[in-house]
Amino acid sequence: MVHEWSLAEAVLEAVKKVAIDSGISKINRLIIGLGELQNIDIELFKESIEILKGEYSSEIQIDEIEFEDEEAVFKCRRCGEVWRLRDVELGEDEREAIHFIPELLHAFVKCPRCNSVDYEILSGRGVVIKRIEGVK
Amino acid sequence: MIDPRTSVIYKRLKEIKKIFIIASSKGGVGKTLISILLSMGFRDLGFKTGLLDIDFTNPSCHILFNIDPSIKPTEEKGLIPPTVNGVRFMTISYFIGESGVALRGQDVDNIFREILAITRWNDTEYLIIDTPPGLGDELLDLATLIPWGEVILVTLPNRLSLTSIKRMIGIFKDQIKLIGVIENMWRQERGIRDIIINMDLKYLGYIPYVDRLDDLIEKFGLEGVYKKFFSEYLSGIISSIL
Repeated sequence: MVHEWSLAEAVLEAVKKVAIDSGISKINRLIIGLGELQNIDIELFKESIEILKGEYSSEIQIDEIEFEDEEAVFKCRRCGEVWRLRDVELGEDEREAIHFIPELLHAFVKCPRCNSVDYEILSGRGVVIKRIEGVK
Repeated sequence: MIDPRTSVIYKRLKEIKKIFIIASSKGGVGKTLISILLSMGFRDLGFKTGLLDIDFTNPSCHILFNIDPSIKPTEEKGLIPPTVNGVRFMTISYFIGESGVALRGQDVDNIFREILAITRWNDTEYLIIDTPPGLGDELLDLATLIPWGEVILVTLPNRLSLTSIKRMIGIFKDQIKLIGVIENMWRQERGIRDIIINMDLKYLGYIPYVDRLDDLIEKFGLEGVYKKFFSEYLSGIISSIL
């Protein structure tokens, strides 16, 4: 099993913590955001979540999981240019590096307008938990 | 919005017996060398040892290890660090080679959380973390994310370096677990031992000054230089922090 497993495990650990802290006994709906920049393999991620749900079943029950894609958008701090991942070209090794650590984009990509390396990732970085709905 | 990575960090590190954070607010005091020597010293005592380089803008442990650029972490339910010189070694250099990365604080924080969340140290017994100079994001993150980590300060036997140690203590005294000071580039009997003790800090030992170290490493290799000049000083330091 690949790198996606570790992120799936992080999601379930976080959900477990929220459930314990909030006194939630059952999660009805979990919404996970998947940032375009990290480019995780959605099928492997879902498979990892399903296997791990079994391992965590004594601590949390999760009924429904939804996945929402988030477009990666960047903004230059120097000139204010806003651009998207599709606006830049990346090699295979570079994509793999960013897959593991999204901020490594800064090693490979500059602002397409002013060439600055000082830009921020506005959205679509990686895996986030967007919403947890449960019952106490 | 919840960042899931923070929740899994403790799980990734909890089996490690001790985590040592090698720090100094001053640059050029030899944190990287001390980090590498300590990891090799733990290795020689038979412990499964890890080394994590969290200098993301200017990583350098891999240069001293002289690692083959084709070496990469193994993908197995996360990333398993390759073993280099008998030490499990993790660095972002595996992914960026010698490219530079200019990072803002938020990016540094994100990289650190990501590495801690996805790296599997498995049955590692002791982990050494080499930090960049300064009092910035990496140290603040360490105090937040690994509050049980034990901080070792590195200093040179000079006033500038000692002053920076005093500053660090002033800022982080109540926020980190400070276990003592290693004197690097020791040159004379007694060195700064008494000064450190008078600062209410534990003097863990010293590593001697070796002239033209870079040339010697190139000639004899890191392992050769370690055995010839440094290994005898490490067992005393390690026994005082175990």
